[in-house]
This record gives sequence, C-alpha cells and structure tokens, in this order.
Amino acid sequence: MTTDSRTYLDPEVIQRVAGLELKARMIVEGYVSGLHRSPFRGFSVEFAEHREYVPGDDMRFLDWKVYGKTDRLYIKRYEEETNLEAHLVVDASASMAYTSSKGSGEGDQSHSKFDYACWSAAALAYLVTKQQDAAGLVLFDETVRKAMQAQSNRAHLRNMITELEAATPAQGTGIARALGEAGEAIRRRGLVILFSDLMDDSDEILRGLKQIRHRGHEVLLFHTLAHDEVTFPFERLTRFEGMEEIAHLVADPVSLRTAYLAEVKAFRRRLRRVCLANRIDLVEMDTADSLGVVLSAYLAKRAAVRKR
Amino acid sequence: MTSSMPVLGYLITPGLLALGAALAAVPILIHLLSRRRVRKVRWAAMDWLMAAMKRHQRRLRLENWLILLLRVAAIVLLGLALARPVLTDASILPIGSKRNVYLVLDNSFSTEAKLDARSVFETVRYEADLVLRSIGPDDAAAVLVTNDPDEEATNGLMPHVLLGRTVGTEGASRAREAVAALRTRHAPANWTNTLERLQEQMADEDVNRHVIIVTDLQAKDWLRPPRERIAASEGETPDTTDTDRLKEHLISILRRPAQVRIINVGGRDRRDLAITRIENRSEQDPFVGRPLRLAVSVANYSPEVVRNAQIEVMVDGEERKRITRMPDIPAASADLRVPKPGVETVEVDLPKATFQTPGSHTIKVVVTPPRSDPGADTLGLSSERYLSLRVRRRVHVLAFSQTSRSEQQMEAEQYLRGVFEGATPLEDSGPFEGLPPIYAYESAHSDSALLSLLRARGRQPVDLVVLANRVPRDERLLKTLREFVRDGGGLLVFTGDQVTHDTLNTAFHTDDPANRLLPFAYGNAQVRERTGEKANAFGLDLEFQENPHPIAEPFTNVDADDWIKRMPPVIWGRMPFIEPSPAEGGTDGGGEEPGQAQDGEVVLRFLRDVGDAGESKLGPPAVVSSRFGEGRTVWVATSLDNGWLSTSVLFLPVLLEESAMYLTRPADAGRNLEVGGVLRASVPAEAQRVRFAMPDGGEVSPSRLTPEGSDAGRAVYRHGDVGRAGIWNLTYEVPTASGEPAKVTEAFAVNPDAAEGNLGAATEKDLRDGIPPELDLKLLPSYSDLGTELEEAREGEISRYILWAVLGVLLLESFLALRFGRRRTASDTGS
Repeated sequence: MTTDSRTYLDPEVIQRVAGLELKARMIVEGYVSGLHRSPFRGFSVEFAEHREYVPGDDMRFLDWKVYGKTDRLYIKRYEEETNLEAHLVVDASASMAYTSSKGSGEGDQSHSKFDYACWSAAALAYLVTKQQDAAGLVLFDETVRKAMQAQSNRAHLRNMITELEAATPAQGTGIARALGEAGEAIRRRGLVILFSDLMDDSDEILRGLKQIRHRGHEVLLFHTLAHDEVTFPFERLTRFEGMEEIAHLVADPVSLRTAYLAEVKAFRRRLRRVCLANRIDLVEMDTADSLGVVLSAYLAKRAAVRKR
Repeated sequence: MTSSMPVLGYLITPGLLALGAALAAVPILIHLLSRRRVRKVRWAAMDWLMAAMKRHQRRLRLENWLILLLRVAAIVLLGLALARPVLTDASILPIGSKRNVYLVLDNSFSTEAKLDARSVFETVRYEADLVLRSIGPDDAAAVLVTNDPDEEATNGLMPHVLLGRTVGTEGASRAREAVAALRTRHAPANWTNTLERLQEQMADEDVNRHVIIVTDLQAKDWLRPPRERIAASEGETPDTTDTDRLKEHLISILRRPAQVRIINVGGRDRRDLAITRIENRSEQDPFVGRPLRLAVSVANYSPEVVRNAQIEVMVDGEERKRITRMPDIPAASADLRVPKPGVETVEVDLPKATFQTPGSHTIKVVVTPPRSDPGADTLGLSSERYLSLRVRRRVHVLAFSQTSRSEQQMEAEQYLRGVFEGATPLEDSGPFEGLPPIYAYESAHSDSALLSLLRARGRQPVDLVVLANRVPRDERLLKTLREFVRDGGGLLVFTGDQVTHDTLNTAFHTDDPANRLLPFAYGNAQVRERTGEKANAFGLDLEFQENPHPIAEPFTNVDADDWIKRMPPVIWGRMPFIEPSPAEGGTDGGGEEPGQAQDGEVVLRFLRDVGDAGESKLGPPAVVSSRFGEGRTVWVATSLDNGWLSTSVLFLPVLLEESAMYLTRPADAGRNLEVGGVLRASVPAEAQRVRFAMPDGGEVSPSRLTPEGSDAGRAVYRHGDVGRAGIWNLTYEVPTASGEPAKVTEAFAVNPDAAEGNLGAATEKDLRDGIPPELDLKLLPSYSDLGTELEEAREGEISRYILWAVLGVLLLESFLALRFGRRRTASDTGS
C-alpha cells in the first residue's frame, strides 16, 4: 500500500532502523514505491520502448501516433542518463547536535538536526548513485572537516555513508569559510546540496552562499531546524546554555516565545530573500517533517537542472 | 467620622480577612519561588534568543509586572468578595468587626411578670446569654442592670454596673455567671439614671459601639417623665412631652455614635391586676375589740374588664375575710400612650374580734383573677399589698384641771369626763353620740398630783395630757411634761382665762429651743363683751384650707357644710398666737433630734378681724400644733369653757376627739412605705440588739441616728436600703427589772410601686418619636433577630460587584497573557 510505504519516511520510523545505508535505502525505496510510476523515467531523452497502457499511467506519455495507427494505447518509455554531480555538504558544527525534546512515546529517542541531515544526505547519495549520477560529500564545522569527490559507484556510496556515520557534531560554525573551502574542493560544476541550521552570523552565511553560487554551482539549501527551534515549546523558567558559545541566558520561555518566534520568522524571511536573489533553492526543514520532502525537492531540482 | 459618611464593613471576622490577605501573597510567592526552579537546556539558536531577549526585555518586564499586578488584584478582590464587605451609611459597622458591646438588662419589678410558661426576667437572662455568647476575643463588653442586685446594701432603685468594660471572652464568661445569679428587685427601673450610668461606661476612644437594651419596655418608664408620672398617680391624664431627659440621654448615646438595639421581651398580652391602696376607712384608729373597715383599691391594667376577681384579707398571716366576687374592674384606657388603669375600690369590714391584743399587727390583701380569666393577672407581687397597724387597747387621758368653784372650771372637768368617759351624757348633744369606749380618763388637780401620775410606773402609761385652762408652775413638772412629750406623749392645752400669756410663754415658749414645747408665743388676751350679737364675737375661719391639718379636716371638708358651717363656733375671749413672720419661720428647733420642737403648724385660724396687725389676709392662729421629740402638742387659743357650747354643741367634742387621736396616734405612716423608702424607728434609748428582719429572711442592722449616751430618752434608728416588698420586722430587746430582756417586735409594711403593674409597652414609633431619623435605633423582639438585620445589611454588600470586577480582571489577564504570548493558543499547541 502506498500509505504504508510512506510511513517509512517518517523520521521516527527511520530512527529505529539500524545502519545509515539501510536507512537511506529505506527512505528512497519507500518513497519510490509510493510514486506508482518510476521517477527515473520520463526525464530522459533517449527512447527505450513502448508499453501497453494500463489505467493509472500518466496520459502525457501516451504515444498518440501509435494510437492513431493501431487504435491501441501505448506508453513511451525512455533510457536514463548519468551526467549529474551532486555534492552533499553537511554542517557538522556543534549546534547541529541539538535534539528536540519531543518524542513520540516512551522509549523513543529523539533525533538531532545532524541525524536528520545525515539521513537526508545518505538517502540522496543512495538515490543519486542509483540514478547513475555522481555523488560527493563535504562535512564542515568551522572549516571543512572532510571532503569526498563525486563518484557514481556503490563503493563510494558506502564510503560516504561510513563517513556520515562516523561524524559527530562539534566546534562552532564557519559557513563562509567552510563553503569557500568546499567550493575549491569541488572541481566540476554541479549541484551543491547544503544541509545546515545556518547558526552563524547572517552576513557570513550570505557571503558563503554567494561564494559557492559564484563558482557556478546550482545550490539546494536544506535549512534544517529542530522542531523546538521552530515552535519554542518551553513553559518553565529555563537556563538556555549555548551549544557553540559559552553564553547562557535565563529566561521565561512563555514570555519570550512571541519575540523569539518573531526573530525566527525574520531570519527566515531574510534568508528567503537572499536565496531568491541568488537563485538558490531553499527548503525549510523541520526535523519532525517527513523525509519525502527532501527527496521531492531534490528530484524537482534535478529535473530543473537537466532542462537547462 | 460623621454618620453620613459611607464606610466599609465586613460580614466576616477579621481573621478570615487576614487569611484573604495571605492568599493575595501567594502569586508573589509563586512568582519568586518559580525563579529558583530553573530548567537547563543546551540550546543552539542562542542568537535568536539573545536578539529576542534584547529587543523585548523592557517590554517583557512591563508585561510581567502588569500580568502579576492583575493576578494579585484578582486574588485580592476575590478575598475581598469572600469577606462580604458592606457599605453602610451609618458609622456603625455590623457584626464582624471588633465590637464594643454595652448590654443593659432590665431587672426591675415588672420583669417578674409571667409570659407563657416563664417570667419576662427569664427571657431577659436568656437574651443576655445570647448576647454574651456572641462576644468574640477581640470584642469588648460591659453589662449594666437597671436595679442594683445587692439586696442587703441597696434599695434597688439605682442602676448597677455588673461588668465594667472588659475586652475578651473571659469578661463575657464572668458576666454570664453574674447574669445567671441575677435577681429582680421590687423596685421600678429608672431609665434616665441607667442611661446616664451607661454613658459613663462608654470610653471616648471606642468605635463600633453596640448598645443592646433588654427590657419589657414599659411605656410608663420610657414615655413619661417623672413629673408627669406624679400627675398621673394623682389621677390626672399625663401629657407626655418629647423633652424627656430619658430621650435626651438616648440621643446623646446614639450620637456618640452608637447603634442602639432595644429588645422588647415583654410580649404583647400584658395584663395585670394590682392592689394600689389599702386604707383604714373606720371612724377611729384600730383598737382592741373594735371593728375595722378597710378600703382596698384594685387597678386593672388590661384593656378588658375583669369580672369576679377575688379578694383575700389576711391579718397577721391568717385569712380573715374573702370576697369571692368583686365588682367589675373597669378596663384600662387604651387611648393614651401610657394606659391609665381602671380602678375599683371595695370596702372590707373586719369584725370586732379581729384584734385581740394591742401592738403591731399586719394586714395582707391579695387579689386573684377569676378562674375563667387567669391571664388577667401576670405580675404576682403587684397583686399583694401590706398594711402595718399599731393596735391600741385604750387611750389614757390625764386632765389637769382646777378644783375651783368656778363654774367654768367645773364645766371643763365635767365636759372632759363626759366626752372621754361618756359617763355624763352631754346635754343637747344632738347627733353626737359620744366617743367610742376607747378612752381611760382621769384627772389631777395639783402640780404634785399630776407629777406623780405622770411618773407612776406599773400602771397604764398616759397617752394624752390635757391642760384645761391651767398651767403648771413646778419646774419639775414642766420638765416631766417635756420628757413625756418627747417620748411620744400628746399634750393638748387650753389657755383659760385665769392665766396670762406671760405665764404660758414662760412655761412653754422658753428661750432655750431644746425645751420649747410651744411653737408660737401667746399674745395678749382679747375679750369682747357678750352683747348677744354674735357678729361681735371671735369666729373661726372654717374656709381656711391653707394647711389641711388632720384636726382641722372635719371642720373644713365638704361634709362640714352640713353641720359645723351652719352654726360656726364663736368665742368672746381669746389669747391669739404671735405668728412669726415667714423670715423667722422655722428657726425654732426644726431638727430631727428628739426633744426639740419642730415647726409649728396652724390648725385653725380666727376670722380676720378689724385691727388685726399686718397686711396678712389671714386671721391670727386659733389652734396650732407642733412636734416635740416623738410626741406632739396642740395649743388652743382660748379656754375650755361653755363659751363654745353656746354656739356649737358639736365643735368641742369633735375637736377633742380629733386632737386626742392626732396626739396619740402611733406614727403608722412611717410603718407603711414603698420600696426605696426609709425605715425609721424610735425605740427606748436602752433598747439593744436593734435589727430589721427582711421579708424573705436575713437581717440588717439599722444605723442609729441618736448618738450613744444621749439623754434624749429615745433612740432613732434608720435603714434606707429597703428594696424588697413585704413585712420588715423591727426587733429589739429592752432590759427589765427581772433581768430577762423583753423582746419587742414591730412590723413595717413595704409595698412595691403599684404603677409597676402598668405593663403597657412603648412602641417603636413612640420610642423613635423625637429622635432624629438618621440615628440608628431599632426595636427587636429578640437578639437572634439581629440575624435578620444582618440580612438587611447584606443588601449593602458589594461582593457581587467585586466578583464582577474579579471576572473582569481575569478576562483582562487572559487577554493580555495571550497578547503577550504568555499562553499558547489552540493553533500553537496543535502545531
């Protein structure tokens, strides 16, 4: 069932599955099996074969010429191509370690922003590799911690997943510097997929994004925020201790909520404006959201890139 | 604080109010405590948080304070609403605040009245207990009673402070015990004095004063000033004025300010029968072997006629007469604010055998309502009345006359014997049938004979000495005569034409006031020739009523028109008295010391004659009397001769009888008194162990007025604390020759104020009359009805408005909390 398959995209379900590779596969297969039709066809330019129409097929791909000649309905099918380099850039700074307090029940373990980013990156790497595209990986905090060139073989995929599994969030965030270094490390122009909470100086963020865009990369930015960061659900008086700085703040969350949410909203508005100006695709991600969002956004972006 | 200023009061105790105040502090405590329970969170988006904090810090602080203020206000208002505050126009706060309670209890005689199964006074005690139980630890209370309960030391006419102003429940407990032991007195309440005393108890710094008066609210006490009460007792219609001192005191108390609640415990059906008077209607005083006619007046204080009431007469405790069907007693007049009773007087004849021994006897008369109407009498004691009588066996008359061959003198001797012994029938005595056989007559014709008869012991003592036209010259005799009168004897003096006024004045109007028997000096004798013309003679002024002396009464009363005034007596010779001018009057003697002449009284005057000195419209005195020690004297300004007989046969016998009775009559008036009067007794100087036995047991020692060692011969004792009705017996012992003291008992009848039976109650309208309407005076049937009053006070409660305010504050707080983001909306929590 389609709906059953989609439940595999729920982050809380994913969290229970051991092994990042298995998680990535589950996300992709779960998503793909729910689509009724293969996303890997239709975008290619090379015709492969005809297939007899079955109810549910997209009418756009009906071969009207064959219908005119034979009075029978056939669907046209195309070959896939592998000419895209996708660079998965994952923020591994300390702030990404934040884990929302919300859990689905007893025994559940909430996942951090970094977990969510890793699952998404792994799923995309799996998908990219499976599409015969090349996938690379950059992990950064204040600087680039790890950079892997894009390749399209399964061994490389496994290496990337191993890197992601091994990484732990630490250090501060230096987006501008890290993106600058990442830009240099990526030799071919391609699609840069950035997973970050963007907990940095907003000017620095802007500078970093502009830098990488300047190098001719397409940029898909997954602004990854924890659910708590979006809703600020705290009730009691709380001492907020900074994850990247030593600073702390004692505040009544209830009284501060409106102002905080206003700050979040203002930041997002500013980010959207910047992304729009620089033709960066922005996806606002909540760690409570379904991972299908990530895959949909990627596929849409890939299609757009191919059309150009 | 003025009375018109609205003030805030509370219907709950201050303790609860304090609790409310404590509750108001709860949000502040929570606010402070919650700051200490801090949760720690490692947080990534510190920049946003810091920015939010920085930007909204001042506003947040303001919002915090505003929210806190609203929450505290909500709780304070809620606490205030629970305290049930009231706004009252009076400056008196209702129950709930600290009170100063002044409780005044009526323990006057009228509260003995039965109301249903119990007496009014029991209800007074019950109500007092209710009030005293309500005294809280912060309250102050004082308790007064209208009649001092100390029976042995007071006459009960004055108010008494049972409990001085005391704070707390301990004083109230003491007062409850005192009230439980409290008794009524047989005296009326004096509310003017009581309210005056109440004001003395009120401290100026007091606030929230509650005066609670528990009374049967007799209209006669509350609505009639004393002056008008006197007029009413004389049968006049009282004209009550609003300038009563009682009202003035009440207004003064109300203006202190104080809340005055009068609890009327007297009930509505207030009927009573009371014996208001017993008097001797006989021709003579009571004597052994003589019948006695009593007149008994019964007052009906109810608005209905009482038929077939019963009268019972007891002599010395034994029933002697019973009237089972008394004539109808008319109803009291209901059209007056103070009802005037209907009165019926019946005559009760006691037979000859009633008194068989001389001395002190008592009569008790009781009226009982008919069996068909037992409710006609509710106040028991007013239905009884006592009378004390001194019954004599004989009046011993000793005449001092001359054995002269003078026709006049012989006539005098014969005349006296004829009158007092009845041995020689009087010629032409007309309707006069002679005196009753109560006199023993003997005469002396020399100073020595008179002296020996006066001094003789072991024989019947002399009661009356008559100097018939003769004056003793022997100084010893004169001294003995003075002692005789001072010890209670009577002296009747006719001047005679054989003595001069100087002789008389020397003997009796001495320079030494202590020995002066004669109050006014005699003047020169005046004689007119008998020309047969009566107009020339000295006549008596029988219209003279300036001083209605008992001796003159038969000659000047209305009945005198039928006999003596038709043929007024005239004489041709007289020795008139020199009446002192008013400025000198009463300077001679006048003290209470035995053996000193008291002011002379003019009994009869001569008609004013041409040539009478002075500008007085009155003629010179013809007959005068005075008191001397315990005895009395009567002086006639002419001779005892046939000169009287030629004009009025009956004048002299009547004058002699009236004088004899007056001069020898025991002082019974002092033996019959009302509660609050003074018991005064003259006893032999040598009397010992002088005591008064109270009606229901107990003895009191009277105070001796005569100094010890005085040679007065008699000692006077006095007791002024007569507060219980009934028979008070004076007992004393007199030494005798045998060595065994003789015990003497004399009875005194003490009766309650008959007007106390007038139980008619004042109404609230009457009570409020003359009192400014803004003053807080109310009449209640019971203290428990103060609950109803509290209900009324609740009309002034502002709780409901405060609750509305609480709701408003809470709504505002919710709105602001949402507005400020202190609460999650449904959409927030959903996301």
